[in-house]
Amino acid sequence: MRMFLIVRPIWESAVFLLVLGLLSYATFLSLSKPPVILEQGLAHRIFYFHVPVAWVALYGPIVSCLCALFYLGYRKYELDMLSFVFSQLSLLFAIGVIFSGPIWAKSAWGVVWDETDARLQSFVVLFLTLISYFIFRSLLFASPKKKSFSAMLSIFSAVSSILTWGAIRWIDNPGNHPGSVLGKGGMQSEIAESFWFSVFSYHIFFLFLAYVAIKAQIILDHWLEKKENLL
Amino acid sequence: MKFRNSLRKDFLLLLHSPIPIVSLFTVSLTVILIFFISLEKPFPLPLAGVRSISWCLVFLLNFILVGQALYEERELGAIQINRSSYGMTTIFISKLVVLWVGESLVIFGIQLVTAILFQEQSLENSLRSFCILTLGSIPLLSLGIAFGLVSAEARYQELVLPLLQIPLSLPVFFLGRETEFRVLQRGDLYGLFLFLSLIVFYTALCLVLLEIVMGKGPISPVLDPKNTKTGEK
Repeated sequence: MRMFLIVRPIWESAVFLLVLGLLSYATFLSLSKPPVILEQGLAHRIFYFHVPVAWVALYGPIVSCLCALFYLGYRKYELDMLSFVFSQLSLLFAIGVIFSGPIWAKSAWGVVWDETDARLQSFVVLFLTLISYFIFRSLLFASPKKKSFSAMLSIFSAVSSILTWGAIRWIDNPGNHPGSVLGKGGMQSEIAESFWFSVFSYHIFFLFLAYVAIKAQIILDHWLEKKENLL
Repeated sequence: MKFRNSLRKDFLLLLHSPIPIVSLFTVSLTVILIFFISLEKPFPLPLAGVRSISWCLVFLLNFILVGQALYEERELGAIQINRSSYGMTTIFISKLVVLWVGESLVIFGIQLVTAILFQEQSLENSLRSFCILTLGSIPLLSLGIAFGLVSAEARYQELVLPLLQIPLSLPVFFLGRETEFRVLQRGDLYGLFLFLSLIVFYTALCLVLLEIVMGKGPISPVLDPKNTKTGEK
């Protein structure tokens, strides 16, 4: 973990600029390259943001859960911290999904929320679970218990995430939400190009944010430790 | 022996008098009446509507029952005392059994009342839906008990329990309502299988996680019966 503290700021700035460039180009590509879907108008272009962000929001809790499981096995500070950071990022990306989804839904379905859709309901459950995770964590006193109980909630968040993934696969979904984008026999080449570039860019963005959050957490924990020692 | 003692203790706490069950039934009846009066007539309501009302009530009941059952023990510090004598698995299972029996009794009453008020006349359907509702209450109670015990360690305990219990119970609620509707309407056994898998999974997950995160012995060494030094000065 110490390696996070010895990376030189110049490299960090370079990576930041690279990520910014990737995201800008992904946005430009999704706005200019793929053809407009006439029934939905321009709003369908939010697809190139919504789906990559939703993917990260769905497997973020699973990565967090893996760290939590390892924490429960080995009880190492780093594993709890990683689990916490990935939950933070999952919540951030989930907020992106919650805001972009209704914009797309309004243009595609005519309503901002489809109450019959299993995917929408299950995603809200995941979103609420992630919020509960942070509130609960902040309300716990003792540090070892705080980490164990947070690990427990991380596991439940991962269950919610898997249920959200399965909501359009395991049961007949009466709602409007489209099925998996990978299971429809492929996309048009322009759409596929923009889509996969967006997926790549948002994953790099996710990794960059993970780096920043881990570093921030290490610095914060060091500061708290020093403060406690002084007291 | 320990399990029997724990079960007996929980049974005495909750079911020693008919008052808790009668109170819960009265609350349920009040809610059913609110739905009955406010919903659009004429009856009978569509099957999905009646089933949704029953599931809402089970959800509500589960929340009240768990909250009340754990409240007294938490306030008096009895949870910590119990942990010094019984394992987490024993505490969890005995609470689950007792609360499930209590909730099943109330669900039976709810089924009876909804059948009369909403003119649901098929006895076979009523029995099927009673079975699914009582089965569905197992994971709801498991989640409630697990988070009730965990939230005893946090600040704002009354706030934390619903915060944890409600979002995580929602998948069970959604799938249970859907399964019941499908079983009654089409005899869909795949949905039932999926629901039973979810029940087993949630209950086992709660038990295992509770044992891992809380099953490390008593909180305070003073309460540890094996600690012989506690009496010394």
